[in-house]
Amino acid sequence: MGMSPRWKEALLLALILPLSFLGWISLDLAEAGALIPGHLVYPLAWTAIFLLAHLVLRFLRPQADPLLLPLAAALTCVGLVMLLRLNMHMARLQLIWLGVGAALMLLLVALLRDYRSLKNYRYTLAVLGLVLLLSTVFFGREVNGARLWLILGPLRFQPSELAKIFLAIFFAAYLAERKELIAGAGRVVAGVHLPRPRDLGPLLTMWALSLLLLIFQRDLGSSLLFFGIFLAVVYAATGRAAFVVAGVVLFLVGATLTFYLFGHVRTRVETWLDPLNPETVNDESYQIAQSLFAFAEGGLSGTGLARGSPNLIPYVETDFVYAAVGEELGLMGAAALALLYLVLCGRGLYLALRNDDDFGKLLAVGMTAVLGLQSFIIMAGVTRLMPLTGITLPFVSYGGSSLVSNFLLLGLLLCLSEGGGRLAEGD
Amino acid sequence: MQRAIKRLGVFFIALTLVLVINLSYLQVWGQKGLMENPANTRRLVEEYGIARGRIITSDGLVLAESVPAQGPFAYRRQYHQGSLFSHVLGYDSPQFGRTGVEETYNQQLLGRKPPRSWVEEMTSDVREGSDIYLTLDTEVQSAAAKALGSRKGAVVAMNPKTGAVLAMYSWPTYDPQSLVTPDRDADGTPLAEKAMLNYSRDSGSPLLNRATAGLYTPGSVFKVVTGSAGLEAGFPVSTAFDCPGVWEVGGSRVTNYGNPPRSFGSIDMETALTYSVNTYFAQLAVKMGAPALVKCAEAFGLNSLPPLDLPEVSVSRIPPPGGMDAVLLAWSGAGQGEILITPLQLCLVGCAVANGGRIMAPHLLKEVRKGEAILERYDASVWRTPISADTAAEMLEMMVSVVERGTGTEAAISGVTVAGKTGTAEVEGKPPHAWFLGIAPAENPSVVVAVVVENSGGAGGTVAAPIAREVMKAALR
Repeated sequence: MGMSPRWKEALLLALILPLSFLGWISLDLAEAGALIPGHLVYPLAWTAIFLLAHLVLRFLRPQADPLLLPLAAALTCVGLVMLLRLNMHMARLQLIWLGVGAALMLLLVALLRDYRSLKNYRYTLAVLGLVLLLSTVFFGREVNGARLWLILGPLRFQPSELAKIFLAIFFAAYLAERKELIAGAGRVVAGVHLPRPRDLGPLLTMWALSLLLLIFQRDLGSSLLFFGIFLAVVYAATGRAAFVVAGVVLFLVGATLTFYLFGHVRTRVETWLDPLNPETVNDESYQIAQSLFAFAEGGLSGTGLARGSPNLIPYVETDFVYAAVGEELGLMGAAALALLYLVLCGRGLYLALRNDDDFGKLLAVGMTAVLGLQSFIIMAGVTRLMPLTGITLPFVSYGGSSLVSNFLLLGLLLCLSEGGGRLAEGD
Repeated sequence: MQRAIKRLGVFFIALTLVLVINLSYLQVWGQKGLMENPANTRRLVEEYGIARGRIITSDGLVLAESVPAQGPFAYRRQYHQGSLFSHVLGYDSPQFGRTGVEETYNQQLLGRKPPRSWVEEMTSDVREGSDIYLTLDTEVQSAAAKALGSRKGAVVAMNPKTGAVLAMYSWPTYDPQSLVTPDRDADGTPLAEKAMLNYSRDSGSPLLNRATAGLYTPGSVFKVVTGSAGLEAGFPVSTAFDCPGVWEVGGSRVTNYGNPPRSFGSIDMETALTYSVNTYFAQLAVKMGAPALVKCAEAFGLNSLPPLDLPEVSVSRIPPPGGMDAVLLAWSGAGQGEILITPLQLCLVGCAVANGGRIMAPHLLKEVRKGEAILERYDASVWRTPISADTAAEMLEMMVSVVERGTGTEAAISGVTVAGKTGTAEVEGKPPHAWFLGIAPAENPSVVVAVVVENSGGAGGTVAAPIAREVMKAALR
């Protein structure tokens, strides 16, 4: 293909941008039976944001990866249309956050001329990430049984959203430096290459940290996510499955302990095992049961936009937006959304493969793991594939911190995507 | 490192695969189980999110409409006419379900029938139902309610030419509004729950639609069937039997009314019907035989379900010919024994007589409308033809003399030729039911009325006939 990245991106956006107008038409016709011209502002503003982002991005980095922005556009389009259907007010705010997020992404792309300079700030970023995470333990406000929010005047901010990026950068930098040390040493017992105890230090630290999160913040989702990101980067760096197995075993042990020690973890697991129990179905497991009913209602092709009742599910605009997609767009819509995330992850890993610098590779893996694991954890949670944990669906759920963080993440991927051009040979 | 990254890719593909397989389970294979789970209120929320259509009488009185509601459902039902139309209307409640035309025409009221085109489905407001216009007439219905008053029983009035039900009233009755009210009493108990509890505990069964579901011994009104069966089986009106006060049959006896039982000597069918002579119709039944009587009764619709558009309709019953000995057959000819019929079925018998032998399918639906547009109109059709036009004419003539000079004089209306038949049905251990079947005007019938007053203690001619008269008057106005 001789097409330049600029034209590839333009072509893909040209395919995706009309979708928001279709969403608007479909929604207005379903809800009001007529087009409401005033609502045109939503798809127009959304289109404007992405057109502008496209132009600025191509001006700043003409060679940056052409798939990432269109994929983000597709995901935010689904999110915006669902929010327009669920809650107009939130849709307006989401649009503003979308603009802020895109602007910050471009700012990052403009300022970060060379992503490799991030390596120099790895400890700063790690400390910053930890401070952000722990800040909620001391200053956080508990919302819905989890202490995830910092309230700064009129702004509510979920620090774990930013912290995950900072820590992922730190993991990538730290492991790019140490991977040989960690992977090479140690003895082989029964065909399994055991790491040296002192190399397990970072692993154990992360494990302790994620359990701390679980215990003090009641944040099962973030805990799992951090640990998962860490394991993904470790695995990519060392190629050693033993680390992953050890990590998973450790996490399960920790999770089992918390299951017996903490009521809220137990409730989560019990509602996962038996969400339709008549005793809890209108109480503890109401949310997950309603989510399952929503998916069932949707069937193969969905009820159609504005033809279902997703508002029955508490927090449908944030954590449960995937259930609303499943109800109104059906299996086809929900599966398509899952595939969009897979394509995004695939692209992230492709960028990792193509990058010829260890830090770049691991950074791409880290960012991809953030997106991929987070979307999987919440999609699997609301469909009862695994216990429910309250995190947002990247680019789709309502939420400023989530949207801004994900755009920053996208910005990092864009930064490290420039150059290369062919797959670097494997090690 | 390249290999590990590729493996991560495979891992993400596997995750997505698992996710989609699980989604397919939830949304396709496991869909039914989840949808039918009792905790799943989506059906209700969806249905009560629709501005259900109104239910309106043929003269334009709004009986039921949807009003915006607070709470989990966007709309709730509101009933306007107290207990006047309750058994036909039924109720529509997320808690207690649906009955009456609310149930029969649920799909129309929700706007799902007749089906919308897909363009309409996509572009119009599907949260709006269609209006149901009933054949009921407010004046006739009010007359029926007023005439029956606070007596257990039921009234059905129909247009014999179309099968349109003009009035259908049953007492004791209930107020459907009390079952859908969102109000609560002082200690927070929903009033609707209390009302439902009271209605279902009430020994008078106010929720029962006696007009369509109440099964009663018909007594002498059944002589219309016996007489018609005789005419059809080759016993003309002139057929005379000697009619003593007591007629011995099969080691038992059939008696006339009166104390001592009145004796009539040798009389023909017209006289026998006019004065409701049991011993005549007992002999007629025995002469024609059980098969002929049962066949004719079944032709009138006994032992089958009348196609009325209400969910709660009972089948009227006559025992099979093989199950009747001479005594039972003789008593059956006079409407006693093991025959049980609904007021609706009696009205349908009257319709055959009034409409040249043909029974039009009974119906409550006039049309389905959305705004001014008529989406669906009920087409009158013949349900069955139990008797010939000649038989119907002869029976009608005999029934005119019942009202002119026999047991049914109380049903007479000045200036109108009324035909009718009285019934006083004996029931074991309780006062008899009073019956009346009226047809007017006899020259060109436009209304047939069936009345039952449960355990009234009085005769059909004195208790039920005046009720029928008032209803016919209202219908003929």
